[in-house]
This record gives sequence, structure tokens and C-alpha cells, in this order.
Amino acid sequence: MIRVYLKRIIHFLPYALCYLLAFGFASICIITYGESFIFGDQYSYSQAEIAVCIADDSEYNEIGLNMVSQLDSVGETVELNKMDSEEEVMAAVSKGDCVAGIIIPEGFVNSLSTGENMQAQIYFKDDDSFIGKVVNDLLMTLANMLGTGQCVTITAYSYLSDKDISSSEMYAIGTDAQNRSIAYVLARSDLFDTESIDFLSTFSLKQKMTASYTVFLMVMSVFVFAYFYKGSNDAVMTRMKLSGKKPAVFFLMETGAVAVMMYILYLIVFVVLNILRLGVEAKSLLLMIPVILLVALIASALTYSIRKASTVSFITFGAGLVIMYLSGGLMPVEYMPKFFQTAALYSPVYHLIQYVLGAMFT
Amino acid sequence: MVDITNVALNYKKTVLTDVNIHAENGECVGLLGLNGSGKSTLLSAIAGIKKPASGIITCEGKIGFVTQENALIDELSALDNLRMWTPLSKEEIKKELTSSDVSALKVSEFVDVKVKRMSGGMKKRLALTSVLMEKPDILLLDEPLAGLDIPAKTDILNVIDSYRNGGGIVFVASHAEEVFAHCDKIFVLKDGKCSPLPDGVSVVQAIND
Repeated sequence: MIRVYLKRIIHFLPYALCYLLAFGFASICIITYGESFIFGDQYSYSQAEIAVCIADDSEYNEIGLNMVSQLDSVGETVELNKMDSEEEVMAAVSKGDCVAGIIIPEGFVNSLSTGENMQAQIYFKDDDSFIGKVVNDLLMTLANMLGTGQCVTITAYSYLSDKDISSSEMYAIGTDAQNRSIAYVLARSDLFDTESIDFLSTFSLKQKMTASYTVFLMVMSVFVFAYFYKGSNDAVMTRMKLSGKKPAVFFLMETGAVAVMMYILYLIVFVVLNILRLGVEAKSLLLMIPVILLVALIASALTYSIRKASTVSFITFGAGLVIMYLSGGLMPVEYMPKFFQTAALYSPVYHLIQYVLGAMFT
Repeated sequence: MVDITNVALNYKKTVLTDVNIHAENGECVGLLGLNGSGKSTLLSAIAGIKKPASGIITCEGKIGFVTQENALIDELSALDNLRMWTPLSKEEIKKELTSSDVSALKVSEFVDVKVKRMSGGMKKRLALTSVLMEKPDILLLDEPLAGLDIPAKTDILNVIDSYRNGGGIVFVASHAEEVFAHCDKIFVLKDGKCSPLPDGVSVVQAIND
């Protein structure tokens, strides 16, 4: 009987795969090509342009501006547009081309080390306190970096001028002190080890979609595999009785056979995703087994309680689609309305997707 | 022996009451009735699939039931379908198909054909063969001749005769007039009652009245 069932798998699987091919192809297209323009870049909405005018066009200012621009937090948040005059900055802000403008007056950099504390001017079109804080923090970072470097250099020169050393030695010590202080400022982020407590934030949008669409593909496969189950059929049950075979044996054998077919389907998904360089981990070949067994068992329970394959298929397609949507299986949870995001937390399928995400990616 | 005493059955809108049928070994019982009269429900009750609302059904022996909906698996061949149920090897099954009573059903002629490529007649022959190979003591047939051509009908009726002559009990539910010529007892299921076909009344008259 087991041999016959293995033969059934060989005959049934190509038929099932043909049905699932179209869905799998559409999923891969969305994951590999459509993801950026359907869901957009997660960070693009936070890009804000800020106009900057530095009256004193010194080397220090250039270095400082470049340093700030290259910081990850700044680069992903704002774009600094350098302008030649205060009027240009005001016009850019007025027209709405830039969300804010910064005017750094002449002698500002020198004032950082002399204690004069000249003020830089920040302009906003709207009274937006968030933008104000962002720009103010940026300016503070810039001032800190330049000021720290300059203070150390000036202090070093002042201390060394009383000593009996050559000017070249003094220059070398001053430069070294400056480099060290700037290196310290640049490396400040290393003082803290940051780790997000949000499990999802460690995965990219592409990884999340790959995992959720894989679960969706498994759930939707029941739509086809419902026709594989025969043990629920009255005629087969009668036949089973005549042969003295137990329904539980049929139930387990059919569940096992469907799980084998689902696993073969996952193997194909695994190979295709890795050919497309989506980096699915080999450990998932083991970790997906419980998920597949669970889906196959639910499919068996559905088929044995409802019996008619077409009804099971209809329920899987209809109810499965809604449940998958509400669990973030079709659209990443963070792109859904707040209410649905909260509701998803109560869905077992949502947690199943999280498990698959962790199984497929690190 | 099959003994049905004061049985009442409920199924959807059908209510069948006062069913009393007794069949000894070697007898063929015909169940005649319009669609929805409860023929299939009564056979299911005899097979033990459906529980009667009241009354007692006693069956002595192994029951083989060939339903209208077959138990065949479409993507497998006739041989593999038979292998599903029997511990016999391929060779033993092939030998059985040509030498035993089931040889009259001629399944050996299409043993390697997949069920999905079979005609209705071939499926009926295969389903009956599959059941008969288990050598049941009681055979329940639900519309065994529906949709069959004349040679197929003749073959199946011959097998019913041969099975009955071998001491088996047959219950056959059908609309087909020719089946009842092979029955020892005929019961008419009408208006929720199951009563013997009155003497002098033909099957056609019983259905039309």
C-alpha cells in the first residue's frame, strides 16, 4: 500500500506543481523585481533636503560638512545642499525646495575654540519642531566635531610654544593631537552596541516577503492537494472497512504523502530562491519540516471533516487568502493600517511567518 | 444472512420507516424506487456507514459495497488500484483476474490503463472486481448498470448470478428493469415505506404507480 502511495505521489506531483507554478512565478517576480516599486524604499520617505550656506569657505568647514554628510544617520535622513548666499537659502526654504536652511556666519568655526560662541541661523518654512530638532542636532554634531579638533590643536600649540622644541616637531604633535581627537569623534558611535528588540527590524523587506510568500505558497498548495485525499470519500471508507484497514492509517499515510509533496515543493522554492541569490539558509531545509507537517495535518483535518475536495479547495482559497492577508502574509505588516498591525499579533499564522523568516534567514 | 427489522432511516428530507427485509445465503434482493426514495441510504445502513434512527440490522459475514461514487484513484492504473487493497503481488493479482470468478469482468484486458483514461463501464468493472477479490459474504450494489452498454450490463449480471449461485447474498438498488429479473425478492421504496413488490405487478408498473 505504501508503494502504491509513493507511486501516487509521482503521478500527482507534476499536476500539482503545474498549478502552483503560476503562483510561484508571480511571487518571485514581486519579490525580486516589484518589491521596491510596490512597497517603496523604506527610507526614501524620510529624505529631507536642507540648504546650507557657509560664509567662511574655509577648509575646516568643508571637512566638517563632508564628515557630517557621510554619517549613516545623516545620510539616510537629510541631504545637505550647499548654497552660495543667504538669499539662495531663504528662497529654497520659501519655495519648499528645502525643509530648512542653515546659515553659518563668517568666523563661526574659529569661535568654537575661542569661546566667542557665534550663533548659526536656522530657518524653517513651517513651525515643525521635529525638523527643527533634527537640524539643530546636525549643527551640534558639526560644531562638536570641528570644535573638538580645533580646541585640541590650539591647546596643543599653546602648551608646546613654551617648550624648547622645533616648529616641525610642534606641527607633528599638533597634527597628531588633532587627528586623534577627530578620530575619537568619528568613532563615537562604537562606544555603544545597539541591538533592536524588534525581531522584524533585523530582516530586509525582501527577506520578509520571501518568507511570507513561501508560507502563502504552502497554504495555497492545499488548494491543489485537497484532491489527493481519498480516505475521506464514502466509497473509500466502505472499501477500507471491507479490507479491514483502519481509517487512522489512511489519515496518517495521506498526511505523510501530502507533507512529502509539500517538502518537494519547498526544495524547488529553496533552489530557485538561491539561484536568484536571495540567500535562503540551508538550515531551513530542516526547520521547515515542522511547518510543512503542520500545514499537511491541517489540510488532512479539513479534508476528513469536510470530505468534498472542491469545498476544501474553495475554503482554502477564500479563507486562506483572508487569513494570510490579516497575518501579513501578502503584504508586510508594517505597510498595513495600525489596527491590522495590532490584530496580526493575535494571528497564529503571523507567528508562523515569523518562524519561517527566522528559519530561512539569519 | 441479512435481517432488517423495523428499521427507520433519516437522510436529508428522506424518511424511511418500517423496513423489514430478510435475506438468506444465495438470495438476491432488489430495491426499486425513484430518485431520492432512500435506496442508497438503506444500502449504506446495511453496510454500517449510516446508523438507523431505530430498528435492528443484522448481517452475518463480510460486506462488500460498490457505491455509485467509486473508490478508485484516478492517477493510478487498474493494477495499482487493486494493489491498494490486497496483499497479493502483481503476478498473483493478474493470475486472479484471469482464473477466478471475476475473470468475467475482463479487467485483465485493461489492467495497465490509468483510471482517468477509463470509460464509465471500465470503472464499474474495476470497482466490482476490487470488491469481489476480497470475497465478501454480502454484496451491496448501488445502481450497478447505470450508464453501461449492453455487453457490460450482461457481464455484470452474469457475475451477480455466479456470485449468488456460490452462496453469496446480493442487495441491488437500481432503476434498470433488467436487474430485477435476476432477483429473488424485490422491494419497492415509495413514500417513505419499503414494501415487497405485489404479485402480478411489474417493475415498470410499480415505479409508475
